[in-house]
Amino acid sequence: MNMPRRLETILYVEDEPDIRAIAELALETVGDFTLLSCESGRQALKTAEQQHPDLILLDVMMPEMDGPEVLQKLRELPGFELIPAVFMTAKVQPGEVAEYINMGAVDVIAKPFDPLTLAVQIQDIWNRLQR
Amino acid sequence: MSSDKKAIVAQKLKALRDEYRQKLPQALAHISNLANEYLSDETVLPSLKQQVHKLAGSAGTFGYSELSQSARELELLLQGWEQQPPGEQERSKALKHARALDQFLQGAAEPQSPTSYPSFKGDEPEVDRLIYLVEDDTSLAEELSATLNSFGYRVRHFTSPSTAEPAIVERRPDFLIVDVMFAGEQRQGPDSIQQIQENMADPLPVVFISGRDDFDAYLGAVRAGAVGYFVKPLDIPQLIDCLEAHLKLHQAEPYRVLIVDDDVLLSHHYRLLLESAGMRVETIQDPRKVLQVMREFHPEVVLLDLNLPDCRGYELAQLIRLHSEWLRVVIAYLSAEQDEYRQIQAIRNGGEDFLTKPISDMRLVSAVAVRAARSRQLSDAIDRDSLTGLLKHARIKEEIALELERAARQGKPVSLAMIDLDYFKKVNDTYGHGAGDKVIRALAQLLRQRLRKTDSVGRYGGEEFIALLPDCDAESAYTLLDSIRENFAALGFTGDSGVFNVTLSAGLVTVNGQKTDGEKAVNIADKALYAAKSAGRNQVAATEVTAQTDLSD
Repeated sequence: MNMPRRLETILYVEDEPDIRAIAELALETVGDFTLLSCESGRQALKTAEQQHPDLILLDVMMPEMDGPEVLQKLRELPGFELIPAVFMTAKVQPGEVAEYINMGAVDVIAKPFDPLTLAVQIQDIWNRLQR
Repeated sequence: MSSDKKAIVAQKLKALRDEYRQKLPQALAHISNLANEYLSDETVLPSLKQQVHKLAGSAGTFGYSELSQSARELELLLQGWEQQPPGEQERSKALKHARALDQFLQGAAEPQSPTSYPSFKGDEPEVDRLIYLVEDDTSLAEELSATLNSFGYRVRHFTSPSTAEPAIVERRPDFLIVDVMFAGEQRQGPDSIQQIQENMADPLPVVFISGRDDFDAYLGAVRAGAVGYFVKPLDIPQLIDCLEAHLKLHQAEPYRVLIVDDDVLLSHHYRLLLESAGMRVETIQDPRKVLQVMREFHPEVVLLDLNLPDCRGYELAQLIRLHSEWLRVVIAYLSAEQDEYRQIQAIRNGGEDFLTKPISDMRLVSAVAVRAARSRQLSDAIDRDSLTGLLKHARIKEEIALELERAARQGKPVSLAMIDLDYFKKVNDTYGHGAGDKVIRALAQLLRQRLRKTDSVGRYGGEEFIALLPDCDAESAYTLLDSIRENFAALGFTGDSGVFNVTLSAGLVTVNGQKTDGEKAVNIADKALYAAKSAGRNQVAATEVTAQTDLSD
């Protein structure tokens, strides 16, 4: 039988320091997750290989390497072909969600997010995946 | 979350918000500067868009949801400018909008926290609202200012629109109240207000006071952005009702929307769209889950696809309609069904409306928002007393029972106050029933204003009110009630035969985690009220339910 796995470690990539700080509060303090917080795609790829997170949470718009690009690179790494990825975006264009889901994201979270409920949102997404 | 952790989170959140607030002026000024630069140098467009986008995405998280929304509007304005340079009008609109963002902080209240931790802030109401009053009659202005002050509004007085204009530009008020002179006077008419409005990125809510009651006068007011229009002699409680209704409409809890659609991607898209417009959204694909989600999520609007697995959308609508407690939920079909006959068929069977797919983003957001607002108005009409806007007898009793149960479960204190106007019959007899109604409405407003969001107030009988204060101990409850008593006694009312004051008495009971029946608690408060009356009125008498209290009879 397949036991549902607990969500413990989240890899989080966001270039904005303010948003990073508040998401850290939302996920670490409120949500009790172990958070690996990165400021760039490059750093995220390195951290992922070393720490093997359960889920990856990505901002879409970032300088240098944007969210979709980070996910694409990550998927090429051995062991990361299926890691659940969630995008965060402030832009909702028609077809955008479909595009991300096709890219292999499991969900999309709208920005601005509510720091007091972000953890619940992520946990819900995780629970859905375990069913 | 445990209360310790809650406190830590609240504290950290506050620190982060403070930090963000400090950086905000710079970010806003940067956007305004970029917008100015764009006029002479179009290459700054990408960075302008990026900054606006960042603001739209972040401000809401730090408690500035209005700012977030406003940035999003600007972002939409800027869309497509790379492909097609904007016309003169679009450019000036965007520029105004950017400058308005820069002004935002000067007019802004403290950021709103999404889940507030209740606290009493002593005697002051939580937020001061700013009103600019344009009134040439100084004595009327003084009277009006004094009353508005006691309801927590700050008032600045101007004698003409032209003197108010620079102040509006410098700091935007929450409301503009204008006494209009129509005959002859050019600068004091609604026209001059309309001119002021044309220079605002967001129209200013205006309330007109006037001697005229004809179609053209109303039309002029509407064109100048009126949210209220009052004919003299002025009914001040009604005016305050209007201000509060407007504020409530714009700062209420987010609308809750349930989407039932088996197309996962599409419902995802709708969810994101509505969420970024500030609503709370749940989506389900399986219609069988609808009852459970309705019970837990309490949506105000349900969007149904017509073609669902296992059942038709209209069957689901009927199924929801079988539950009388969901009567006020608005059900709209969202479907690609083109056949008019089938659309009508669907509406006959329990839904209210038909939104045809494909639907533009803007249409969807506004269609849902309008319907949610309607649902809320309907709820209010059902649950609330029409004179005061407070909960009706039956509803406040329900609330009391629920709250007492919750408090006993959590071992927390809850206070309940029975409030009654002193010698009210005499007021009616001496000053007329109209004056009596004014007094009742004034007390209702004062109570609403001074209580927290989590408190409930109801009109229990003719001149009897109940305030229910969860998580509030005996001491805080007494302090609060007594200060309300004092405030109320200071209000002056105008009746047929002059100005008068009215006092109130209150009986207070605090239950400290004991299991107590609602009726019992109301009885104890009633006895305390009787004690306050016998001791000479205009006072608060307090009792507590403790482990020793005999609750048997």
